[in-house]
Amino acid sequence: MGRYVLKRLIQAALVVVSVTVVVFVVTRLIGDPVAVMLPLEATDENRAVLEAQLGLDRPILVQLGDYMADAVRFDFGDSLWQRRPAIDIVMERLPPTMVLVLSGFVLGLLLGAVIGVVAAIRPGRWMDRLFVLLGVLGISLPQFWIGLVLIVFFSVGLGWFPTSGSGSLRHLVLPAVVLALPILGRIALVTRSSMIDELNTPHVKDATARGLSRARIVVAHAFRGAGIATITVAGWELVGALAGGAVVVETVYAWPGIGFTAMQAIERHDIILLQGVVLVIAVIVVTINILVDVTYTLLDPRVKFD
Amino acid sequence: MARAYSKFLALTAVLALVVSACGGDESTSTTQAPATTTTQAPVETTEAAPETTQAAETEAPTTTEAMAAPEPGARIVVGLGNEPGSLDPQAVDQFAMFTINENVFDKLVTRDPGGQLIPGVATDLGTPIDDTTWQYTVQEGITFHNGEPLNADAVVHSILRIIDPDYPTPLKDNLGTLVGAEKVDEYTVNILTSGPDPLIPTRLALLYLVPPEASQSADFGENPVGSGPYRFVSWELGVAVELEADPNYRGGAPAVSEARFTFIEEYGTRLAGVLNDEIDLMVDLLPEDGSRVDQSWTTPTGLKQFIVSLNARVGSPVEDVRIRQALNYAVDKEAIADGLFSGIAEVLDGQMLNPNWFGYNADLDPYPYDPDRARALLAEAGATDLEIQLISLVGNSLLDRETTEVVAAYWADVGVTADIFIPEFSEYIDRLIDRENRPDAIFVPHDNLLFDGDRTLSAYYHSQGCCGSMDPSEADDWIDAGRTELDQAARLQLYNDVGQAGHDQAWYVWLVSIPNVFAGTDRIDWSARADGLIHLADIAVSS
Repeated sequence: MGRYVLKRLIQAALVVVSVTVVVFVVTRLIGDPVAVMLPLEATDENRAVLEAQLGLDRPILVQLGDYMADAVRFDFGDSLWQRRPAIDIVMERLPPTMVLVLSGFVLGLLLGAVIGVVAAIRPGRWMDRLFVLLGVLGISLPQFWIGLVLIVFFSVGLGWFPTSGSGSLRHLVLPAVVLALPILGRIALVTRSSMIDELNTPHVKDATARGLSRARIVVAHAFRGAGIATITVAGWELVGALAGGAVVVETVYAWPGIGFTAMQAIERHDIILLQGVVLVIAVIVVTINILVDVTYTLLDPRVKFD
Repeated sequence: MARAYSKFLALTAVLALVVSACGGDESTSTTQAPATTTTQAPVETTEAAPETTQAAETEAPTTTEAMAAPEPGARIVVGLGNEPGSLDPQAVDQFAMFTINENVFDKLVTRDPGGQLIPGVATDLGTPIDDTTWQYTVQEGITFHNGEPLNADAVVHSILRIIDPDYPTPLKDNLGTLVGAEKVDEYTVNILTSGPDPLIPTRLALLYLVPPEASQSADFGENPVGSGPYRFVSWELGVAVELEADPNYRGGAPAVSEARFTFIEEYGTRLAGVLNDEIDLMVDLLPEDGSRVDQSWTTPTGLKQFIVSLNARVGSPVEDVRIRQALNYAVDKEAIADGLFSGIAEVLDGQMLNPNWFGYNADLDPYPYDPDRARALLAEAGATDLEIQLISLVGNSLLDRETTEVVAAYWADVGVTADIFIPEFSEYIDRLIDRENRPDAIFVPHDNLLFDGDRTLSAYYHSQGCCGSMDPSEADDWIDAGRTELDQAARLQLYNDVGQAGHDQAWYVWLVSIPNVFAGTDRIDWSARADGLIHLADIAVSS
């Protein structure tokens, strides 16, 4: 187990370094930050001056080498947009994202699992169909659209929640719900189908024959087996919420997290800040992956490492 | 299931519309009022002026009585789209930074609401005492919010700081010939230029004055200290900047005593904030949403000039002036202004300059919409099957791509095929400023916060400018002469001649000028300024 985790940590470090290199090269090839920072008609001279001051006139390999050398010392460069260490900005914006992503994730996971289990008990009946419909809607409604619809409905219409911003529980409700919807949808559908499979396995039939209560069978026998699939999907959902959903939801609700920061960095071609955001997300994602793999063994002793 | 899905979508959409149409005016006003009065009271009492006795009386009793009393000073929320990277007024070229700092900082020269230059903290617009020196006198007795005096030393410091070659700022383009500054006495400064520069007052209207001590601090960009009507209070990064009125401000304390600038990039969310009375004033309203809000304002003239540059150089497919004129006659600019922009845009008068920019030629008119004449001119020039590339951009300015597509459609109508190419933004810039290979046609959204023809004409009407697509002509000499002409009447004449030459040569297809559009709740009494900035001190609030 210890060796396995060590191996995974080394792999994780390699992944983070590769992501850094790829993002570094790609961001420098697709756009010129100086073009965005200056007026359209800026003189060539002023363009060159700013480019040199930002160190963007050096060959890309030299820039990459310097970046890596600094990164080893935990210096990830200064944001071009805010002129202060990119990593500081990302770390300041991380807690709001964690609050939002974890709220949305827990909400989606719990509701999704409950819905999936309940739907699986009587497949094909109206409750199952309703829940499947709900799940498909959760997955397929675009988050920026449903986000705006909820604002119009619950904020402007009913006045229950503020339209945007952060700082209180009331601010959190709408963005967390929007973030939870696709998680709820996928978790519900996956849990439902693996529950249906589990409920038809010999050990569940055996438990039924032994006269155990239906509730005990569903929770203790079937869900334990179906849980593996749910956990796998949940890991992906957490990653998806962090790396994708948060960007959309935070932008719609002006939630000051790293998703919103990523959006701001992209709009301003702030390649240093974007690099910082991607790095931190990459670290979190590989960590989640390791945690998910370790969780398998706790849930199902049949899963062995190596 | 597909049917159920679309039914749900339709239902939600209808509900959303109904609710937005009839709902939610009162819902938040109750939560706002107490917050305003409680935060206000302490501010008022600490500044123990005779007028504040009224406020002090209302402060003590219960909240209901406090709410009934007239608001001593109001709090407003301004919804901005973009967050500035820094609030150091010399560090970044971002409109949101200017919008906030216009309230915090002073300048030697500033603009009135109509866009005309007026003295700021200087006593007048300045005097050129020789070819390379402009002299300014600063009003006495002004201090920065931290107590530092705003005197000659502060002005000299502010200028030397921004022109320092080691200080990275995209604002250097505004400074042109400015090379230094010298203190003459406590309140008199000489501003030094590399040559005669008639634009010095104009340039100084974009140069904020910073306190010599505080501006040396590393976190000045996060804790700015100015001398304007509002003091910086806090900046919650990613969220909002808070300002408060300076009760000792030389012009008297403004009516709005606290202001919050929030950063909401998503347009729909910002608009919902106004509809929900959470935001009192927002920027960049889309013209089609004008009827949904309590109030909307547009700047008196446009700030973005939409044009299509045509390559007039020898060897270009549109080198023949008749073709370029035809491309002008072919486009119905009125229809673009009224249709695409819901009437908020103005048709450009056959030139790139706006009526309130220095150098505007009042004798020029737009090329009228005349597709028959366009076809005749094309036939005359032997360009019946003309095919050209039209470069454009997307998401940079309001309806930029759409405008380009409309232009291409009008051209197609007279038999000219335009192949639209929309590259990534930095490649667009590379194409725009490529001196060797000029694009056949390139759509440009041009703005000029200097409000002076010099920048526009130097960039677009000069054969050596960044973005001009013409061979050298007399216009080059007139523009060069204007740059150092201190006699404003003579300079105006030079620019008028340039405008006329460009018009006759049809170097551009001049389309429309787009104003900034604001939306607000009905508690705001305000009007938009020509420069598109928001002076909080000009806002009156009814409770």
